[in-house]
Amino acid sequence: MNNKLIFEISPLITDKYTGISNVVYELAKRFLNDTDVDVTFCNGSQILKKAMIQSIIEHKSCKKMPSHLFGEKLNHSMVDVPILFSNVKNTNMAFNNQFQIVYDLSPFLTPECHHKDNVHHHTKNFEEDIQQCKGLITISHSVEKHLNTYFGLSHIKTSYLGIGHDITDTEQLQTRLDSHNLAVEPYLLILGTIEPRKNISLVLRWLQHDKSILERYRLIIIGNDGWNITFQDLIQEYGLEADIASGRIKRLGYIDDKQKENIVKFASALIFPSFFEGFGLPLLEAMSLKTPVISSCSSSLPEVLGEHGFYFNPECIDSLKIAFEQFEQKNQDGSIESMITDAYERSKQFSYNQFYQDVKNYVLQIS
Amino acid sequence: MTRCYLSNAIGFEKNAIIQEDITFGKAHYSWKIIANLYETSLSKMGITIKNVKRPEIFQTDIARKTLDVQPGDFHLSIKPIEEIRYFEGIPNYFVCGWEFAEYPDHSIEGNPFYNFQNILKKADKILCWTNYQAQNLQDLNIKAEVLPPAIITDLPSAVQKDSLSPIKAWVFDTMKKPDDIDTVNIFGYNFDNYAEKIKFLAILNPFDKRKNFGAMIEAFHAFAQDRDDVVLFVKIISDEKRFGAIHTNEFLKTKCNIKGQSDNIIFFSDLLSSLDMNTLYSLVDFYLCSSSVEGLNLPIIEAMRFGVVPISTWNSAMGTYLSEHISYPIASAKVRDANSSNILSSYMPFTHYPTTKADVLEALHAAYQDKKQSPSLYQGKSDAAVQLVHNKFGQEAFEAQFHSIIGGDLEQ
Repeated sequence: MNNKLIFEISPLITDKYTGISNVVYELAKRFLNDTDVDVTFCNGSQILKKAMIQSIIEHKSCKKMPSHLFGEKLNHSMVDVPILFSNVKNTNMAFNNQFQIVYDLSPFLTPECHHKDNVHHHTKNFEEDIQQCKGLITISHSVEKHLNTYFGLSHIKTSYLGIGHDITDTEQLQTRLDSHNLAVEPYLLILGTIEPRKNISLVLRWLQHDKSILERYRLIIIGNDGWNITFQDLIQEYGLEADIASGRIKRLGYIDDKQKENIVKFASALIFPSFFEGFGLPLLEAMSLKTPVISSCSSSLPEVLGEHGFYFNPECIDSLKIAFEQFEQKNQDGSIESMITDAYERSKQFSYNQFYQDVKNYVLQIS
Repeated sequence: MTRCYLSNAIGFEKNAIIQEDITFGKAHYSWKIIANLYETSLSKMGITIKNVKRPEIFQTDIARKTLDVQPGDFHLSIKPIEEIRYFEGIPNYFVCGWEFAEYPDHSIEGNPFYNFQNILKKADKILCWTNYQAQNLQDLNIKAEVLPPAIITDLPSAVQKDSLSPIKAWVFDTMKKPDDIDTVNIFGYNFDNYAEKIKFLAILNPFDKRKNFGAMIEAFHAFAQDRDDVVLFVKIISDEKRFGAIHTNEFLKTKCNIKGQSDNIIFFSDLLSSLDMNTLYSLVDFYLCSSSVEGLNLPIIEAMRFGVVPISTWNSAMGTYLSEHISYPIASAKVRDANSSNILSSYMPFTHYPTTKADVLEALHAAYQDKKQSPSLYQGKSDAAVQLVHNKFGQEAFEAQFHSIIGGDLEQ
């Protein structure tokens, strides 16, 4: 095993995994079991023993960091070893073969959707850090283009390596449902943290204007509480308290992956109104579970969904209304089935195994 | 039909969920006024305006199709440079009204949008308000055109001669005890009280150091002490809605170290209707401007449209349209330092042209003398000011320039 690599995994040091931590989890899982490369895992400059990574992978969570599972600190003898930062660089050490995954430029491009402190944290050293990199990995062409447009990175190699999904047992889900003879009442689904960038307000305002939607479908919202806005305030702002009370709108908060898959699978459609994304994992998950997608046309989302969904302008309620009408029309005439099948086939193009191989090859070859 | 995707949302305005727009009394309000002027100018040409808050998110063919982008459509960004974003797949025209000669060529505090040169270079064409910006950019080897909006978008027919709506106002007085409240007067309905006086007008944000508010007031105070036939009206523009009587005099006293009192220096800060603004412009004789640097100076142009003669510094943008044929110059000295009153001043020096009380006073004397002793000379400048605005900032001029600069792009 001649290849060595340091993988910085700080996004895994949290108890609930979403977005970025899920991607890092998938990479860490594969690095841990890869016999071709000798991987040192670290959080900042603190080396973590493999037993600790195994525990994290097993539980898909990291609530505690027992100190006996700490190794030594990264030191200057390791500066030539390729190091992959799985998100922002969080050590002051300089490395000669530094790589970084860039998920999106949201703190730069949508600062009004974040806390000021958070924007400062993510933007303060970003340019300096990426200028020190030999290579940058982006998870969509959208991110790659924004990086090149606003940071002028002509001397740094950037590469788009599309991420994947880990949904494998869609047939089992259907079987489970059939065996219980369950009938699913139609519902629309929103996945995402309650924060301004996810733009859930657009959907709520649309429902406020057209209550007949809620007579035909429930609305299920899955996602953590976020920042700058609260779900309760939004419901109040759009006068939807009665629909919460009647259960026509239901918020589930954070749920585990399997529960989420079940709910995605049997949704009439996923509505994804986000202003801005670096990739769009919820779309991919819905596609792989054969659930129709009604999506914002913003940033990277069309790269994921392709031509196999219903798009709207996230700045415009009328645009959402039209997209939804198109969805209902295709649903009624049955032509949605081919769209679902095409989306499902497209979802197979995105694979974490491929992403992992591409990342590994990219880092080892360039360094 | 050509359509313009116009982006002028700034900060929180980009969140479609928030229906609050930047209005009078808030930072960047002047950008809203300018954007409205461009919008009107383009609409008069038959170009359809489609507002877009986040042009940077429409990066794919699918996104542009969803937005119904057609061949011939273009993106016009009208906002501070650090707020400009690129709209992929259609021609990008960025409006530039930056008031300084220097344009940062690097990120500041990690923010790439303060790399003004990089941002502007992404434009297919840079549309400057005046030749001042265009020349500054050309000095940096960045090609730029001049296309200000039409400032005359209709005839100034709606003027109530000698009659303004009542306006809350207060006078210059820094001699009172701190606890005394300034008397708030009403002027407007009794505007004819000032009929026999030579009337000066200034419109400015006193907090903005570029405006040299202290030097202006101090000079006019000295000027008015020798004569009782002059009056200065100062329309206060402030990001702070509550900036009022106490604040103005307290500001002059504590920040500008000016002592004095004059009933002939009158402040007001309420938003005036277009009708009242037009009326006010038509009633005054001179527009007083002591700015050390400006990107356009819309109020002075609006005033000139009504034949008001500027007494002004001739630096920066004003240097491209003011001359001795239409105005009285206030001398100012070129300096490059960190005191330019610009949010980026602490990161790099900028060129600006501060003026002094003596410079303003000298110009006031010259203008007053002509107005009293050579009315035809004054009238000649007044007529020339009207003509200049028509020629340089009228709809016809806008359309001719638009066709010359952009027309070819859209026909391709």
